[in-house]
Amino acid sequence: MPFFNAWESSDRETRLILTLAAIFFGMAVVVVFILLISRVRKNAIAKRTEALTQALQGILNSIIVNASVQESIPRSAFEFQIQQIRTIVGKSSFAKQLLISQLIRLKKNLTGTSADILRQLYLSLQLQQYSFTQLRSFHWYARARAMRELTEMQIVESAPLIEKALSSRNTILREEAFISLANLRSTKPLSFLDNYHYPVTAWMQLNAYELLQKLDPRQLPDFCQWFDHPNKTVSLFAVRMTAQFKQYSSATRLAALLKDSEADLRYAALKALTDLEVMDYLSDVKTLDKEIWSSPEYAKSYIQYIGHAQHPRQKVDALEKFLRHDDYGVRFAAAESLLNDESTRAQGEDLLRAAGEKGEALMRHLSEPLLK
Amino acid sequence: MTETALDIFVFTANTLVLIFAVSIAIAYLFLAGLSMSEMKKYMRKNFFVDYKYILSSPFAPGISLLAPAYNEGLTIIDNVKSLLSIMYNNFEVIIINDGSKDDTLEKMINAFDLVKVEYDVQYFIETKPVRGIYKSRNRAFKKLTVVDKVNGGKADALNVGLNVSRRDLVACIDVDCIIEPDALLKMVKPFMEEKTEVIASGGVVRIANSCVVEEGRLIEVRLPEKLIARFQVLEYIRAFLLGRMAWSKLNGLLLISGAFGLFKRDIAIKAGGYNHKTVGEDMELVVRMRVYMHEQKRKYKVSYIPDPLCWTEAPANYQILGRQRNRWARGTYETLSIHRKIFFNPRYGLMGMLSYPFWFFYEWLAPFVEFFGLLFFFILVLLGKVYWSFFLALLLAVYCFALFISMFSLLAEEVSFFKYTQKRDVMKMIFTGMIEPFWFHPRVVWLSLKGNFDLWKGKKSWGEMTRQGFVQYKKSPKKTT
Repeated sequence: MPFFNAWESSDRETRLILTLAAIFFGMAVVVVFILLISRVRKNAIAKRTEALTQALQGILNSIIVNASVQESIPRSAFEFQIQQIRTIVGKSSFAKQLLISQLIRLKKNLTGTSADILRQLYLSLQLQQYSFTQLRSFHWYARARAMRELTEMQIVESAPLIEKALSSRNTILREEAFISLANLRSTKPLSFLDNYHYPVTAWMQLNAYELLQKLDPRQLPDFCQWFDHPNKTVSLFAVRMTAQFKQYSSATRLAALLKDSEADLRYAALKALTDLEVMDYLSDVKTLDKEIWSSPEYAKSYIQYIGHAQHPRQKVDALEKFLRHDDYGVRFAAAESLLNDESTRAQGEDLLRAAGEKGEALMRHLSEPLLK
Repeated sequence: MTETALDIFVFTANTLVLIFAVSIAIAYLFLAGLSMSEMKKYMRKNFFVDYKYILSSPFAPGISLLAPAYNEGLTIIDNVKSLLSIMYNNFEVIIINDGSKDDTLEKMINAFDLVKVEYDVQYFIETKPVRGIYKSRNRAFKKLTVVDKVNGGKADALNVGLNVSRRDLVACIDVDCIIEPDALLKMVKPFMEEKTEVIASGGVVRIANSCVVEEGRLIEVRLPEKLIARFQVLEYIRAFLLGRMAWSKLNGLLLISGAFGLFKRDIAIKAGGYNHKTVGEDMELVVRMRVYMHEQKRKYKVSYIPDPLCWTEAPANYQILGRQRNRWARGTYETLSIHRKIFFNPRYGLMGMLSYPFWFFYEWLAPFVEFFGLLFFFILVLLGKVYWSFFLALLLAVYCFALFISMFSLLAEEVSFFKYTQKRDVMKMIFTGMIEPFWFHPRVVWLSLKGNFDLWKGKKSWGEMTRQGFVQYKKSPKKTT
């Protein structure tokens, strides 16, 4: 039995396996040890957080109430409360971070004087210095958090530092910088877009929109300035924002985009014109008549636009063919457009009846009040 | 000569099993490390995210919640109310009554003031006929649609949901699961933040046995009292936190739990919807959607987030566990068999070269290797060919490795969502991890083999899942004086 004997006679393998077993066991013990320490540490942190939060919340509440009931808080009272907070927080980074989070949470739910006083408090406690230090941190997550803090507290001076992160290799930092800058530069928001070369994701758009909404509409930029941006995602963002913020003055530029070489941009421009309900560009929109047939999503916006812009007779003529489209969603949109308009309802019903059982089923669906 | 041949066979078999064991250990270590790193990144990245922005945003995609219901009369009202109270703006709830024999439909009609409407149902995916669609006259339940259809099974019911839905995304859920209120807000984020198209997204499913539930809402998380459920807690943490997170990072995730998953509706329909010929329809759909995207040469991603978003009741005895694992084993084989063309097929990228082979060797084949390995061992004992000191050393190493992986998964839970906050719960889970390889794992292996054997015999049914129900907690009415 040469093979088996060779295997059997060697103790090296057994020793190797035992060593492996010892390593795994040791690793398991270390993990359990870390687990238990983590549990103790987390419980201690939770207790400390609770105690600090309670102590700070009382003072913050009193500051907010004073700010809302009095025109101006006596300086001495404010100084006294600041001193109280300083005593509680001390030099602890943990306490500072907790206080900043607390201030931000409160500020999000407050407006006017109460929100202003929280910002004043952030400055008086020199917490912006802590945020600035974090902004220069080696860890990306600390920098990202600092960006949020400085943005929430509207520390405009941080903009040049944050702008540097726009070209970071870390996607999350880039996104955070984008969102922060969209909100921070209130005099010229979004000017950084001129030189922005990375993709603007739907998430970034959503955040930027939420923050831009809070700005005075007069401070909003003309989004059409980015329609021709070399970065297509920036152009798409600008088109969507034009529609969201109802910038009617950009309608001509939007109509021009209907002839753009990029299908995405043509579609976005059509959707924006539809959302803005600017019906002066019917002839421009009609140039898309052939290409929209193969794109159901495109076709729905087209139908909506035509439905609003056309005179009843032409509308029926223009939409009739869409009732025979392969895509149910397109047929549905065309039927809906015809039946929801009193002037085309009767003709729409005739067309659907002529389409047989399928058309009648669609008609019954669209006439159902509970499905509207 | 014969003895030498036997020796060669023994040596070859030993070597093959050793290679299998070492490769599986390396794979698990790699996945565990990758998962932990991804999870930390996820936690840090989303620490300060304000999900409420999604609530009011016109940029948030619309979602249809699809929940099939079969004989759920006892709990359906609470479950529907719970679904309707989910935090999201642009969403609808579609309950598909899959030909229930009890009063599921009648209860919903009465509770939500439903009436039959003239809904123009399209059969984009072929299904059993729809008997009627109901909407509520009460505006408070405007988001609710109830579909009554002829019984056809869960996959068929979900396909009806896909046909009826009009939103961009569909969340397919088990109606008796408890969904966290902010689950949709968290699940939808990957669809918006990724540069490549996300076609599906999944989250962590956790075990709710012994947890306190009030009107379909989770009030208090508790560790299950029964050991069998605790084994499954450990198993779920290992699978969801250590496995899927890493596969998502690699973009090789093949399974999104049927209990809660979010899918792009148009892709799910174009891929053909759920396959009602398999009992593993959740995995099969994800694989088919991926295959569709590959064949269309479109870039895509299947995303996964480690937040505990859905709570489900795990089997509380070995009989029910047996039925569940039997179904899982059959579902895995059926899915792998349907899509065998992707096995080591470079045309399907990482899915073909890594994910599918991983599932084939380490999920489907592993129980066979374990079982036949054990049989082989007994034969060697009879032949007196066991080198006992080596065997014991190997057994110890395997046990220590299993223990390490279990402890590491507990650590992953600890550093992430820290759901079992009681100190004694950690000790209980450590103990569970220590005895699991001897007490629970052999049974799971056996049940898996039985599932494959039943499949070979032609078994197609789901197997009844009897549930004990959550610990119901009702607020006591205030005393009036």
